[in-house]
Amino acid sequence: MKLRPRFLCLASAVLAAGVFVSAQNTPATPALELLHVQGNVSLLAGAGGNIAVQIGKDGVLLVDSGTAAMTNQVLQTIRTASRSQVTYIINTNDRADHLGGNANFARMGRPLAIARAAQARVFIVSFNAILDRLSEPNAKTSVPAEGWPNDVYSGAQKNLSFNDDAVQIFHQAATTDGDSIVLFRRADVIATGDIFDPTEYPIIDVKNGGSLQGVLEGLNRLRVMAVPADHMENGTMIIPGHGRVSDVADLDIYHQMVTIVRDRLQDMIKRGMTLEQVKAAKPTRDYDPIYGHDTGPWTTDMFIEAAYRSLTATAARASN
Amino acid sequence: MGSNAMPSKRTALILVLLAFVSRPAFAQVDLTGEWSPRVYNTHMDIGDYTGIPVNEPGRLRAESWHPDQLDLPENLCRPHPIDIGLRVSVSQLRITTELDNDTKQPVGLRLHVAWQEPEQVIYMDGRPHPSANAPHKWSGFSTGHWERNTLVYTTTHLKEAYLTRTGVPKSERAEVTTRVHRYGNLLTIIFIINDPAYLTAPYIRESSWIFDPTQIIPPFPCEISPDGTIIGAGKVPSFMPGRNDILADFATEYGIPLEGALGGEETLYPEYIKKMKTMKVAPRTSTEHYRRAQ
Repeated sequence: MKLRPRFLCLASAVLAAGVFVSAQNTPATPALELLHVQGNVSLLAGAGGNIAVQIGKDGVLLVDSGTAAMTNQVLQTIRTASRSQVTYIINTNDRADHLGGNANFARMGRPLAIARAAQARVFIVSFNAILDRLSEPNAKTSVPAEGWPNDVYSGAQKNLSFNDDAVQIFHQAATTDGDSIVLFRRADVIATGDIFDPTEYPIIDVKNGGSLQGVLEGLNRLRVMAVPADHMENGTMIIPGHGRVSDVADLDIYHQMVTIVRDRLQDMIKRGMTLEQVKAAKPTRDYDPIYGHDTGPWTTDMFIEAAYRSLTATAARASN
Repeated sequence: MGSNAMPSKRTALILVLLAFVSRPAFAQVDLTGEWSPRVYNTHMDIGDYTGIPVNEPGRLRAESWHPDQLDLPENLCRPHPIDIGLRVSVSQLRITTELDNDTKQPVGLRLHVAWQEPEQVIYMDGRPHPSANAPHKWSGFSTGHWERNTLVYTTTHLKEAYLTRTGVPKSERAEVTTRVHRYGNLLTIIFIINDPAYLTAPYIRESSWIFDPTQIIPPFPCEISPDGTIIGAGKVPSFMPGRNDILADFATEYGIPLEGALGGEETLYPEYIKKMKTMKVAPRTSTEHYRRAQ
C-alpha cells in the first residue's frame, strides 16, 4: 500500500503527540523560581546565590539579596506571593551574588518608622566583619553605601521575632570570618549561606579569614542544629548557598565529602608534598563529577589551593 | 481491492500508531498486593565491581569507601535508595493504589518496602516531574505508563547513594527506568540505572517476587543513637587513594584478575572472558575478606 502525504501528516501528528506526552515529563526549571520550602519560608532560586524568603503579616524578610542585576526580577517574583515591603535582608556573607541586591532594595519602599533604622527603608543585618570590610577606605567593593549593613551584630548570635517566628542568626567563621547561619525556628528551616553549597567544593576566602577547618566546623554545627525526620528524610529543611532545597541527609553527604578531602590533603601535607604535587595528584578526582568546575568563579584548582594554604597555615599555628 | 477500502486501512494503521503512543493511565494488570522476595544479594564483597560499567572517578570513590562508614550515626537509619532497597536485603514488598488526597481518585501506585520502610509513589496521571530546585528523596519522584502489560516508570530526584552495599557510588543526577511485569503469581522488576557522573553505560539488574497474600510486613522503626556508635562525631572513615589494603581480597579469593573485578563497561560483555584469560591472576591465599567486609 502506498501511503499518501495527508496520511503521513496525520501519522506524524499522532507520533508527535506521543513525543509531546513524553516531553511533558522532563523537569523544567524556570529562570527564577519561588519554591515553597516549609512553614512561611520559600526558596527564591536563580538570582545568583539562593535567597530565602519569609513572608507574613510583618512583611517580607530575605536571607541574602542575589546579584544587583537581578533585583527587579527578584522583586517581581516576590510580588507573586506578597505585596508587602521587604523589611529585612540578612546577609550570610559579603560576596556579590549574596548581597549585590542590597542597595536596590534600600531604595524601595517607605522609611521604616523605627528609631534605630533612622531613615532606612530596609534593615540589612550581618556580622560586623562584613560592614568593616565594605566600609574600609581602600575597599574595592561595588556595593554602594546604602547597601551596606545597617543592623550589624558582633556577638555569637542575634535574634529577631518576625512574622510569628523566632529568627536566629548565628555567627560562624567558615568561608570568611563573617559568615552567618539563619534558623527559622517555627518553620524549621535553616539558610546556610555558602557554608553548605552542594553545587561545588566549599569556597574558602583565606584572605578574609576563611578556612577549610572553619567550613567543617560550620557543617558540623549545622548537623547539630538540624533534626531529620523518620528514616533520614525531611525534618529540618535546608536552603543552601546555591543549589536545590536539601535536608539533613544531603548535608551529611556533603560533610562526608569535605571531611574525606580534608583528610586526604592533611595526609599529603604530612608526607611533605608541595602544593604543585598535591594538585598533580588530583586528590578530589572521584568527587569532581559532582562538585568540580574547570571554569567559573570557583574552580577545583582554586579550592585545592585555598584548602592547602588553609591547612598548612593551621598546621604552622599549631606547631608554634 | 478498490479505493473504497483505503480509509479502513488508514484507520487501522492510525489505530495501530495510537496503540503505540497512547498511554492508558491505570492498571492493565493488577499489581497490587503483598509480594515476597526471591532475594538476590550481589556485590557483597569489597573490591567486587564485576559487571558494573563504572567510570574512573566512580571506581576511585568505591576504592576509598571504608566499611566502617556503615557505623556512622547518620547512616544508621538511612534507607537504601529504592532501586537497591527493592533488590537486596529484606525487600518484602507491598503495592497499593495511590489515591488523590482531595478527590480520592486513583493517581498511581505506592510501593512499600520492609527494610527501613522506603515508599515510592508512581504517578500515572501525567503530572510533570518537579523542578531542579526541589528536594531529592531516597525514593525520588516517579511517573509511569503502561506498555502493553508492562508498567514502565522513570524516577528522578534521587538522593546521592550507592549501586552496591560496598561503596560503588551513584550520584543524585542518576535516573532510573523501571519495568514491572506480572507473570501469574510472579512479579519481575527490571532496573535500568543511568548515571552521567559515575557510569559510562546503563547498569541493569532484575529481581523477582512471589505473590503472597498472607505476608505481614512488620513496622521498621529506627532512631539514631549517636552514643551507641563506634565512630566519633565528625569523623568519616575512608581509605586514602591507592592504599586500600583489602581491595584485592575478592579477586584473590575467587581467582579472577584484579582488573576484571574492578569493573568497567568492558566487563559487561562476553568478549571480556577471552581477554580475562590472558590476564595475570594472583594465587588464591585467603578468605579473610569475608570477615572484613561484614
